[in-house]
Amino acid sequence: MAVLSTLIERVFRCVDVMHNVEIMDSGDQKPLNRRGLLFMAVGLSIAVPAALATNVMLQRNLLPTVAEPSAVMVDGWVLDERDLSQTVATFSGE
Amino acid sequence: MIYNTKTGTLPLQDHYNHCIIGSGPAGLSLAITLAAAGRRVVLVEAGDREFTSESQIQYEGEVLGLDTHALDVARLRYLGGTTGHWTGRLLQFDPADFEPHDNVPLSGWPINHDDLSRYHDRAARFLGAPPFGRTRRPADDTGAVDIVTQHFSSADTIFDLRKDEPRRLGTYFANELERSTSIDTLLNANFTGFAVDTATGRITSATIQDYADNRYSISADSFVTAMGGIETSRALLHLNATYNDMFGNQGDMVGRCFMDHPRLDLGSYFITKRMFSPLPYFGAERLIHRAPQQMVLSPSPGHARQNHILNAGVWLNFPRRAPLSQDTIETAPFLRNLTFDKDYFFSGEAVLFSEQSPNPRSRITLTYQYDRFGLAKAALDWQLLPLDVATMRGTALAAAQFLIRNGLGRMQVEPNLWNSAPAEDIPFFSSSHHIGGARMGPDPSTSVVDENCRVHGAQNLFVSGAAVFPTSGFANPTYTLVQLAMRLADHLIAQPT
Ligand SMILES: Cc1cc2nc3c(=O)[nH]c(=O)nc-3n(C[C@H](O)[C@H](O)[C@H](O)COP(=O)(O)OP(=O)(O)OC[C@H]3O[C@@H](n4cnc5c(N)ncnc54)[C@H](O)[C@@H]3O)c2cc1C
Repeated sequence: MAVLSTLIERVFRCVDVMHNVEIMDSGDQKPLNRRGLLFMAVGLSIAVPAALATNVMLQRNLLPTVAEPSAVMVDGWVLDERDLSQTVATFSGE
Repeated sequence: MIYNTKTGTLPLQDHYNHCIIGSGPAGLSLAITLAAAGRRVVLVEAGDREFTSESQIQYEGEVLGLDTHALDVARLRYLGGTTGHWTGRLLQFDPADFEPHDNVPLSGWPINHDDLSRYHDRAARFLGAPPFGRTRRPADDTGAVDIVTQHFSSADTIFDLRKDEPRRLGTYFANELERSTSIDTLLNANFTGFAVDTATGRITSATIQDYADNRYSISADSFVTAMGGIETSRALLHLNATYNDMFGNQGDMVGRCFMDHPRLDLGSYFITKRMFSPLPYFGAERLIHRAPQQMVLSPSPGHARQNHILNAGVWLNFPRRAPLSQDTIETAPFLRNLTFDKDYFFSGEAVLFSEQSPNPRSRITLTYQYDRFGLAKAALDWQLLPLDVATMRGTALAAAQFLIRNGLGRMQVEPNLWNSAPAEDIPFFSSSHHIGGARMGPDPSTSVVDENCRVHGAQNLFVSGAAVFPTSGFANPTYTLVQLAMRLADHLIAQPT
């Protein structure tokens, strides 16, 4: 699975480079040109089925998901109260 | 043709079908639609092709209530009107915006979303956007929060507010107006009043004055004020002062229920999520645009009703692929404990735009100061109600909880809002969206114009613009006011000339 994940990641990186869409620090975005779309289509046709199959595995989002957030305000941020404890690591599975 | 009082006398026709006062989106879209149907139109514009201080200074007025932009700053007085400095965001009103709310007096429109839907595509085209239909979709399974679609008045589907120019209607339509044989556009032509046949309630002519104090009289079958939210109320207040409240002021409603979209900077947010998110939106955005587009989160109509709040939205603005600043992390030690995906981390500023409820005490009045044409200047007394503050709070909280619930990220909320501080301690500000003052409704005791935007008590006087909105929604107003202008055009076309 890990190999597949890396492979998919690579395909997307490759698509990025090929149609020369820069991911700049500023986050500026450029519309894709036709060539870009073609590469994207090729990339997608490989990546999407694989991605769907490995969807769960690729959830490398380490923030917890919380069914009923109990919102608290800390330093101006709205957090779930569990954010304040080390239980985050449990949620993240690490 | 375009005629300028600065460069010659005006070759006015004896009679026009329609006299439209104001060349912002409300007047321009109306004029162009009527001309396309073969009508003879005169479009009266107080300013020139470009900004002039001579015209702009006539917009001076007083601010009496909540702090807001000075009246001569918030709007522009030349060809194309305030689109000379607008941002070009286009959002549709929601179907629920047109419906009455049990706990909101004066809510509800006499028309509904479907009455405007036939103008969706034309309004979008006029403003330079691709047509857009569906506006909301649930952001997650709870149904509490929706993602609202936003478009821009630019041919580009991807619009970067920091770099791209929205459509400036004056510049964009100048050639078309120049070539038009159906529209006479008059520049540096200030509308100063109407002549009225009091027996019938018919407006017989409009008086205009140039900056050399020459006066002209324009005769037409019908007259439309499209001078922007504040000036429309001002003109109707002048008219009613002379004609004993017979023009839409039977219930003392002219100038009342002024609304803006209170805007509040909530603070920072971050989003950290891989592209294969279970939420299709994030996946698609990541793939297509390489970053999430700036996104509008809004409590769903069901959630809003259940929680007794109005409509509002949180813009997750300008997501940047950049870590939170060290300063932010210093002030928020919990951030160090959170484990998030450093490969996919976007941060930006969250801004809230909110609906405000119709409130007769929030109003436009006349002052005892006069402009160079001898007309009393306007005063703006903008007021909010507790429900409006509750709406801001409930919306910010719903958006923050949405991010938590889905493990997407976290956002800040202005602490005074969170703590339910009184309105005066919450640093919201005006969005310069001038709504209301000539509200639409069937009953002259609670409204100024009828469902066809005709002023109650007048035979041939109409209003085009956000002044007629009975409630404000939270969507930027221009898209909807252009739809309404096109609907008014159809109404006028259906009438015999
Ligand atoms: C900074 C800023 C950003 C904005 N961004 C957005 C946005 O992103 N999206 C959105 O939907 N809306 C936005 N708005 C609001 C938008 O500009 C207005 O909704 C829109 O311009 C209103 O159109 P209008 O035709 O009713 O009035 P205006 O555009 O104000 O036009 C009124 C016209 O009437 C003329 N006029 C006034 N008095 C007279 C007179 N006595 N005689 C003859 N002519 C007269 C004026 O010169 C002007 O041309 C923004 C506003 C501001 C200030």
